[in-house]
Amino acid sequence: MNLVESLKSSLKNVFSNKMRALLTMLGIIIGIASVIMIMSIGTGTQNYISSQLDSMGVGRINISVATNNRNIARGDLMTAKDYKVIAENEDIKYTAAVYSGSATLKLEDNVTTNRASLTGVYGQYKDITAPTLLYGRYIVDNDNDMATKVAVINDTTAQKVFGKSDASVIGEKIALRTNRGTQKFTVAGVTENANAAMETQYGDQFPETIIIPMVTLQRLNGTDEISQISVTVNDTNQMDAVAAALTDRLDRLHGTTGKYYAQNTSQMIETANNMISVMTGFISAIAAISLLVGGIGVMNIMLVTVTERTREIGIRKSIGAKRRDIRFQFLIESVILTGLGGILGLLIGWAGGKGVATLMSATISITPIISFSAIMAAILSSCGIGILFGVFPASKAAKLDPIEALRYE
Amino acid sequence: MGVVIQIKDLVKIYKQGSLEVEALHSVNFSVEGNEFVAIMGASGSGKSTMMNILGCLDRPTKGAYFLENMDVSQLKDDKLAEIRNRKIGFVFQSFNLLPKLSALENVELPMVYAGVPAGKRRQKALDALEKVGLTDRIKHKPNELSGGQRQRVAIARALGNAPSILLADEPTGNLDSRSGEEIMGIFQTLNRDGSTIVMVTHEPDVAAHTKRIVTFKDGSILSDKPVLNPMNAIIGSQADSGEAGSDKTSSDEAEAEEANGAEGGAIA
Repeated sequence: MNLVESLKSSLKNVFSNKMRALLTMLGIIIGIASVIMIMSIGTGTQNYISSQLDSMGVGRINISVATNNRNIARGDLMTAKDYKVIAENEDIKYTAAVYSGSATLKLEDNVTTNRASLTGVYGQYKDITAPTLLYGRYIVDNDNDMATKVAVINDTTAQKVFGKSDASVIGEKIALRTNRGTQKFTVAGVTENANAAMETQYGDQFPETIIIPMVTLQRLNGTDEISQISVTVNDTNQMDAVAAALTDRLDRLHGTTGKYYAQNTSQMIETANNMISVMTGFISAIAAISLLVGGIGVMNIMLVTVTERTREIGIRKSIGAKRRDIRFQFLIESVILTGLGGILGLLIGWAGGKGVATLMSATISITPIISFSAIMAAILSSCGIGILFGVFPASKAAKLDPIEALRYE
Repeated sequence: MGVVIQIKDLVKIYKQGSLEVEALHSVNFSVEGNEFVAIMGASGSGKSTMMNILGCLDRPTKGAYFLENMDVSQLKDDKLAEIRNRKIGFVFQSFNLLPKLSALENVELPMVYAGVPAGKRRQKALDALEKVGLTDRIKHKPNELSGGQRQRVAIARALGNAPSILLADEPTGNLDSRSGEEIMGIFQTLNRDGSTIVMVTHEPDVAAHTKRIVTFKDGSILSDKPVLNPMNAIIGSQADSGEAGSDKTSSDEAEAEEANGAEGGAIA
């Protein structure tokens, strides 16, 4: 009996009892569907994070005082001196310093205020973050030298403060209230809002991001502290080495050890990927159990089928079916059950991934991705389960004695 | 035609736990080509055991079984399956058709296992169904056919691979007398056209249609006599009837038994 004949006959048998076939497949369907769904979302999220981090700047290293270090002395804080030292490093392309603060921002009606996070920038911040400038200019060195009160806002903020976002807002004033009183800043530039998606989700709870000269902010707060120094390296393959060299340099400068922490984007990608891998692994383990249980269910049903069809087996044997013909027939049936379950699982998992992505689209735009290898793995593993759990019932069928099988009622 | 079946000193012992039951004691007999033999005997006489061994469903404990001069007595399972497939055509009392397959597909099945290509298989199956006069019902499933029609499908199936021998185990046992008569008519026609047939039956008037009757008793051959004047089946009813006994085969069986009692005694 050849493969085509066996397939036809097995398909006929599987479809002659659809409800049973479907229930038998359920374990496999759930298993495969959950793995595929999680994998598609996981891969989509990984891609999303990578692209987000890429937009932050490829080969970027952020240096700050280690937050896990409780004994931070005044002298440990980074200042302009540290910036200079770091900028001297030959492996670095761009260097920027950031000092962060917060304020409240008066909106268009002149009464309502919104929280604002102030990012005081210094050096080549624009080159590192590569914002999309819509109108006006970015913070330049002169702004820091003169400690000017200029601000770069994004189009969402412009909309809230001026009710419009066009070139005419350049030169307008915004009022920022800090603990040092209300300060008026002149709008120097408007950028595209990089966090637009997140802001629509959180509404007014999301603080306005306002970029001002670092020195201006430091003076407002009466400090010379730098929160973070960011650099990009020339050779992205050397990131870890450069990061270590920079933190070592700062430790030497301050006479400390391990006080400074360098986070680079490749590390962040790695951290995110690790998290996703752990999650995917965990769900996959659960799915593997579901597949195992599904496989046992298939074996159970196949054993029932063999018993039910004892007489058929006897008839087939009496007219010339060999052991391998019978074994093959039942093995094919079992593989059809699990394989079909795998394909259904694949479709459901794909649809589920799309569904989850749609639900999350308000927050982050993830495109669920099912790789070809994932499809192959799903189909092969479900077929494999069919073989694994089908061998025993099929062999049992093949070994039946034709005389006894024919007598079976 | 030469000798189709030759049985020499054949012994079959069944082991039931520690108990050994000798079902056949050193049986000798042979069947020539184009013979039509009835094997008779009470239940427990060894005729079913004989039939299973003749049909290569079972192996003898001792002795030799030559089927067309080939010793098949100690072949492996798969080799026996091949012999059953190519050289033996079975017709069972309970038809043993696969319920999910159509008449045509049932007839094709042995040829499927023999690896006959689909087109040729279909043609041969149609030919076989024509021989048993069932060309108009080839798409029907067994449960849409009467008992007599089912048995005709079974005979067509047995003919598929042009076997050396047709083995029929109580082929009329589940049929009313009229359908039984038709089936015997088909066997007689097949025999006339050259088929070698061995049939187990306990009905004397069925056996009376054959050319030779071998009677078993307690695992040995009691008698082996030719039928001097075989009864001819009424062939006229072959093609058109059959539907008549359609859905009451089991109740008809009782009638058949009675009828046999009345008509019996035609054995020479």
